[in-house]
Amino acid sequence: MNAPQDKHAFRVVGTRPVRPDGVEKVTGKAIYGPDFVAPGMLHAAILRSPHPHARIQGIDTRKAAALPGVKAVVTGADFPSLQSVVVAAGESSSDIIHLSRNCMALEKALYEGHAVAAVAATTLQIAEEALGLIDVDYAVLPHVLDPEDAMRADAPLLHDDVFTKGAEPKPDTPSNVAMYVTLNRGDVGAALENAAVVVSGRYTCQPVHQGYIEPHVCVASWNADDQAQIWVSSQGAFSVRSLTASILTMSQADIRVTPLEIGGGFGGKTGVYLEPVAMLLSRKAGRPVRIAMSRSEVFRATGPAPGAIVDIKLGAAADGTLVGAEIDFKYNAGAYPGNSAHSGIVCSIGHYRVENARISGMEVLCNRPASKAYRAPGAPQVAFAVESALDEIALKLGIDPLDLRLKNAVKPGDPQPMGPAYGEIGYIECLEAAKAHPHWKAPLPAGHARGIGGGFWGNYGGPSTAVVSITEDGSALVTTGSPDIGGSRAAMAMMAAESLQLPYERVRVTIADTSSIGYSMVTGGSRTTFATGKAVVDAAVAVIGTLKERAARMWNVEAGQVEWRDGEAICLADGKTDQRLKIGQIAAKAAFSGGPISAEVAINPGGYLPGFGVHICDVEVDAETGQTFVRRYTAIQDVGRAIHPDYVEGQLQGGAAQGIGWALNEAYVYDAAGLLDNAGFLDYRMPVCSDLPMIDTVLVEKPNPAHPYGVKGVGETPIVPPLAAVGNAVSRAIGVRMHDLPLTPDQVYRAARRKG
Amino acid sequence: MAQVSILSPLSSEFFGGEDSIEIDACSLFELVSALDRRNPGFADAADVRVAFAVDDVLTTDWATPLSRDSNVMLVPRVGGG
Amino acid sequence: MSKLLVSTTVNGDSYDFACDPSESLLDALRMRLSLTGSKEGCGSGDCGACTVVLDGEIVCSCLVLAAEVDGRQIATIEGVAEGSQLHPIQQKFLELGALQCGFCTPGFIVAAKALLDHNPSPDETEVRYWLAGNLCRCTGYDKIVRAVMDAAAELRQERAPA
Repeated sequence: MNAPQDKHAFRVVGTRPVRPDGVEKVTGKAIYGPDFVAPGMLHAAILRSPHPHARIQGIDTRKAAALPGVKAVVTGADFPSLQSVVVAAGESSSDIIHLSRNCMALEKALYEGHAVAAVAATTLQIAEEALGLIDVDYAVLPHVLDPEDAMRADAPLLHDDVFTKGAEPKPDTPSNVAMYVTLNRGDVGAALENAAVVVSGRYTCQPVHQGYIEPHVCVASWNADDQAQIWVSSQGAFSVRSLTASILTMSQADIRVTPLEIGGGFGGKTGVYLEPVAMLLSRKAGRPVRIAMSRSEVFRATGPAPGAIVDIKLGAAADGTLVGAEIDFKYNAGAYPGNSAHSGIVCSIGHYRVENARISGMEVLCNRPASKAYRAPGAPQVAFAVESALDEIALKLGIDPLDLRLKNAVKPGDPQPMGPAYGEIGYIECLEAAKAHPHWKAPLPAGHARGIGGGFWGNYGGPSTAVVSITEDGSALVTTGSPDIGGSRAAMAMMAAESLQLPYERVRVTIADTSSIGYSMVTGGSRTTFATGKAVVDAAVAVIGTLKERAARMWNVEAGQVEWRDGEAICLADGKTDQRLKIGQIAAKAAFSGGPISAEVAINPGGYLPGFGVHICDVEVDAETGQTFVRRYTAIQDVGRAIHPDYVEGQLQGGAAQGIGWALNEAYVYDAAGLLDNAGFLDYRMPVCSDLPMIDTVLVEKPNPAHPYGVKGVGETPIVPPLAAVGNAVSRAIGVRMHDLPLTPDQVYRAARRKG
Repeated sequence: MAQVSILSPLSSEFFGGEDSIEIDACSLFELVSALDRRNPGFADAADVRVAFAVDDVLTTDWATPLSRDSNVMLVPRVGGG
Repeated sequence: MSKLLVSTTVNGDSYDFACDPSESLLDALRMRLSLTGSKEGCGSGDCGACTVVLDGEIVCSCLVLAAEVDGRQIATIEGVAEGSQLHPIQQKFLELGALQCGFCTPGFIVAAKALLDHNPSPDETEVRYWLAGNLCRCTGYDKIVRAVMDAAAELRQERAPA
């Protein structure tokens, strides 16, 4: 079903109704992960390694187990033995043994904060007291935090069973380099030699945490008959089920995971940390067990986005045509492999036509928490280098930075770096919208400087199941397995209402647990409005088919002689053309016309399209302190079609704010012993309300033909452009190219002083 | 015989660096089995780490028929967040 | 260690509970009184998700001891609406899409109400600095600030003499 071109033909799609879960959320009634209580539940605490790298030679839990009030103690030894196999983990993949060890260490602690034991007790105080009674015999090992240090021959080795994937020839010595990916086309050496201008540089950025305000919490109850329930806020209850089942060698049908409301995820809540531990404690204790992470634990033990070191050489002809790119990047990936490097390759120059390119990417392990997906995993880091290099070229050639990008931007039909040709993408339209925008044309106030950054993310489809059913009074229920992290219930209700031709308020959305609906992949990867939305629409269309059939039966006419219009069946048969049946009238008779009316659709849709964007950022740098103030910001993105514009704008604004934080302030600070100094929101400095101006947005709509309403994923692209938009603005403000994020005041101040 | 092109790192990881192979297969299901016989371990990885493009179109339908002229691309699957 | 008895008023209702001496007001509200609208984001007073009003001033309830509120008046998110009548701030948050995951929303609403209760005409800068103690990771704050400014305008109109 092709997306209708004329959006004014829609009655609901494109409007801004109040979200169906809104009242519960503004009154504090909604039940999030930490709010759930199971009767009789115990409280658990986790003992975490104080060392960034250590062999665990023994754990003595006897005194802890004997403390009155303690009902269960677990260590890594309580986990089942597993065979090494790579499994789907959220949106990417990991070895199940690594996932299990990340939940609880066995042979080694690989980062400060790595879980080594857990206690469940009648109160949290008793559980925490019991932790103090656990004796762990650590043999402390040297640690490594920086990727280039981790690559040296004499570096401490984290795993003796990780061999560099993608290395040629296949290595037989273990390494801290988990993956090596390359892309080669053309003759980049010759291209750069003949280029009119070549810019080169090393750009770095730091691991940053997704920063969701809600810490991880779960409640698990595992009974003696093997059946279990888990209540948790997650981007994907089915992911929790499959990973927990794999780690604990259980049948998936034995676990019912109920998704609670979720306080942010951004990719960080697509896997498991606490669930297998809570399950094992519950099995031993015979009672439900609740484990909650503190904010300090979130920072010490959950995955940030990897940092990166990017070396780039970019060459252009005199007219600005990009002729060659040499890019080598290393991700600082934390303690376990899993974040593959190829997304960095795809998103480095995938938004430009560059005939000659040699790109390589590495995933390097070190003694920090294992990295996890953040928005657009792997893309912002490399795009920062590319978009900064482009800015240098623009300055050297005296070309307007938007014109430079327009000259080289990919169009529909152009080849992708890794994969088939691009479909109906909209980078050109975004750049043109930027050129036409008042922000771009506005004269810069004195002391302000302006930077732009472009970028994209490939988005995804993936499997989703949706049910649409009609109640006896003719209202509609939509059920999906896709947790609502930012307004998707509203979008599902709107698409169903549009398709069914019912008022929005007559359509309600439920997010079901894993035992109540078929499988859906996580809410993430910018897939939900596209894939789950398509399942919802297809189910709504199927329901209309059923409603028409039932009306036909009620009128005793052929099914083809019924039209569905404005939520009513209209009879087209001769002699009966005055007949109408409202949805409520048909639904009331459903039991007598064939049975309840509902449809389930389970799909894995193709045809998803990348989302491209460009951001414009004005900054003012305080010469005395080096502090950067963002004075004006505009985010422009091709969204395909905005089902609910408020929530699409919200994705652009939120992603931009995260990118601004990544560019200006956010980083992990380690002391000489490899221990984290800033495991809290005071010193892990995310943008606050007073740091930011209003963030203007432009929703470019170039509909995706593969979705009934033209949707393209929108959630991740917005974090890709801001690193360079901010970096380019600051570089222009002080006249010095900034290479290393975050651009903290001391760094900017020193750079400006050196120039002056 | 479908023409199969293989991108990094899959080419080095499973196929000894070969980035282009001819395989006799009528569907992606058969193709994956054939590649796994040739290079054991590939089938397990295909489930979670590989995306397939047939004649320039990414497809999740492994029953997609392949012909003599079909071009199949093995692309590392990119995950989001 | 023996518990302390606390008698307090929350949203106009009297409550009595026993708590540990080191227990925070946030934990007492959430676990003893089942008022789970106030959230823990950090436990160290840096994120504002636990914002409540204590004797007329906003505080981070994670930094207040439960024992300290004996005999005092607390207002939480649960008391902002009057029955089913939403406060204009809540209404504007809904109308302008000023929440995405909604976890920080109770803290923002309580803080914003405290602002408008004593300053009915804040400008954008005053709103931003007042709310600088409330972290949001989803929205970038744009729609939150607009919602508060709109609510302020509506409240000024409501309260204006006819």
